[in-house]
Amino acid sequence: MASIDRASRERLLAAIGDDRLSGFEALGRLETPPLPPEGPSAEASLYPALHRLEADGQLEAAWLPNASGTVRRRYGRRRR
Amino acid sequence: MDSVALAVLVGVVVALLFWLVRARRRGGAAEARPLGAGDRLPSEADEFLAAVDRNLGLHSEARAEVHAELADHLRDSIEAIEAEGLDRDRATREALARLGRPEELARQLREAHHTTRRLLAGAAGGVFQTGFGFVGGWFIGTVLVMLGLLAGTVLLNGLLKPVVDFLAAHLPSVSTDADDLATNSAYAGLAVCVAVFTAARQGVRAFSRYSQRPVRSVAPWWALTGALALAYLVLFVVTANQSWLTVLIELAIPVSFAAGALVKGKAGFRIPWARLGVAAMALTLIAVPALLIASSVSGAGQMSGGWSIDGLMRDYDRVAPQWEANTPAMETGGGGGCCYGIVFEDVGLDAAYVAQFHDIRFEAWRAVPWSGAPDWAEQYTVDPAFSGPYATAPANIAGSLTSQLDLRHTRTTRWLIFLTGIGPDGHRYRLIGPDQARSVFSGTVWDWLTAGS
Repeated sequence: MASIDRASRERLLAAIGDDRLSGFEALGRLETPPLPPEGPSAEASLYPALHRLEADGQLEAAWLPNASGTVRRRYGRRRR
Repeated sequence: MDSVALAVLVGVVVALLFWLVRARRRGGAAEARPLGAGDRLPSEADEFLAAVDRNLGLHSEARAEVHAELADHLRDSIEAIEAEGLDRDRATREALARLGRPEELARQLREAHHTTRRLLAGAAGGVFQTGFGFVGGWFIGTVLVMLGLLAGTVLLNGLLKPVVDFLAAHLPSVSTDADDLATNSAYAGLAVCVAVFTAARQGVRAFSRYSQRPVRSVAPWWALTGALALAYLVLFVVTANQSWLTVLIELAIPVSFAAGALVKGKAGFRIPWARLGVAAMALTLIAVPALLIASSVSGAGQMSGGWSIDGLMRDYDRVAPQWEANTPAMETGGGGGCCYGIVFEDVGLDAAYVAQFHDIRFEAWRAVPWSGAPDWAEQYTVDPAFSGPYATAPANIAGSLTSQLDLRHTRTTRWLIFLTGIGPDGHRYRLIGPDQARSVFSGTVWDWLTAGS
C-alpha cells in the first residue's frame, strides 16, 4: 500500500530534517527501515512513501545538485 | 603516380581510423570503473525501469520523472554496492533486488500519485482549460469559417458556377436559399465544432497533467462525459434557427468534442495566425475580382423577361374564391411584417365593407416558389401538397384588422397570408392578400426532429 503509517512518516521526515536529500541519501540516514517492508527490502517502499508525502504536501521535490554537483531529485520539507 | 599516392594515403587514413575505433571499443569494454552519474545503466537495470514504466499508469511527465529518479537511485545503489567489493553484475542484481518487483513498485508509485486531491485538481484544471480552449477554438473556428466562406464563394460563383447551375436545374427540390438553410446558425455551429474540439483537446491534457493520470486512461471518460453533456445541450436545451444543415452540424458538436479528446498528438497547440493571415489575404485578393466579374456577367440579363401574374391569381382560389374582383381601397394601408416567423398583420379596410362578413381571420398557407415567375421575382403559390392552412388567427377589428401568427415551429419557410371571411351567403371568401412571408424554424434540434412540415 502506498499509504504509510504515522510512525513511518515521522521517521522519514525526521531523516530528511531540514536538508534536501535524494531518496538514496535519505535511505542512508535511516537507522531502521523507513517503513514496514512490503517487498524484499525497505527500499521497495521508500519511493512510494516519498511520493505519497509529496502528493500530500508534506514534502516538496526538485532536481538539485549537491555539493559535488551531482543532480538528483531531492526532497525537503515543504515551507509553509 | 599522384593517383597511386592518393589511394595509398586514403587507405592508410581509413586503416588508422578503423584501428582507432576498434581500440576504443576494446578499451571501453574492458574498463571496469564505478558507475557514475549520467553513465548508461546495465541492460538488466534498463529492463527493470522499462517494466516499471509500462505499469506506472501516470501522466507522461510524471512517468519520465519517476524513470529518471529510479535510474539515478540505481546508479547510486550499484556504485555503493560495488564499493563494498561486489562486481558490476552482482551489484546490479543486488540493487534491483532491493527495489523489489517492478510491477509492485509501479503499482505503489501509481497509488501514491493518484490521490483524491489530484483527481479533484485534475477535474478543476481540465474544466478550466476546457473553457480556455473553447474561447481560443471559437476564434480559430470563426476565422476558418470566414476563410471557408470566401473560398466557397469564389468556387461556387466562379470556377464551379456551371456545375452549380446544372445541379440547381436538375435538383429543384434542394434549396440553397440562405434562409431555408439557416446559414447564420450553421456558421456558428461550425465555429462551435472547432471550439469544442480544441476545448476537449486542451481539457483532457490538463486533466491528465493535474491528476497525474495518463492521457489514454482519462481521454475516453472525458470524451464520453463531454459528448453526453453536449449532446443533451444540443438536443434539448440550445434554441437556434434550424434547418437540416444546422441540425447535422449541431449533432456533429458532441462528436467533435469526443474526437478532440481522443485524438492523439502533442499537448501544445499553437494557432497558426501567420498562415491564417496569408491565406485570408490570398483568398481576398482572388475573391474580390472573381466576385466582381461573376456579378457583372450574371447580372447582365437577370431582370429581363416578362411574366404574368394571372396564373398565380388562379392558384389562390384554392384557398377561397375572391369576394369581389376589386377590393375596396384600404384606409390605412396594409400588409404585414415578418420577423423570422412571427407575422404581424395590420390591414385597414373600409368599415362598411368589413361589416358584410363574419368570422374574419388571417390564414397562413404553406407556399412554394411559383414556377411561372423567374427566381429573382420570388413569387409564391399555395403548396399543392396541403389542402388547408397551417395556422389561422382571428382578426381583431379595432379600427384596422390586426393579428399575429407564429410560424417558427414548422419546417416550412415560405408562407402566403390571406385575410378571409364568411360572406352573406355563408361561404368563406378571400378578402385581401396574400402577403408573402418567410420564416425560419426556431427551437432545439429535438424540436426540429419531431416537428412536421
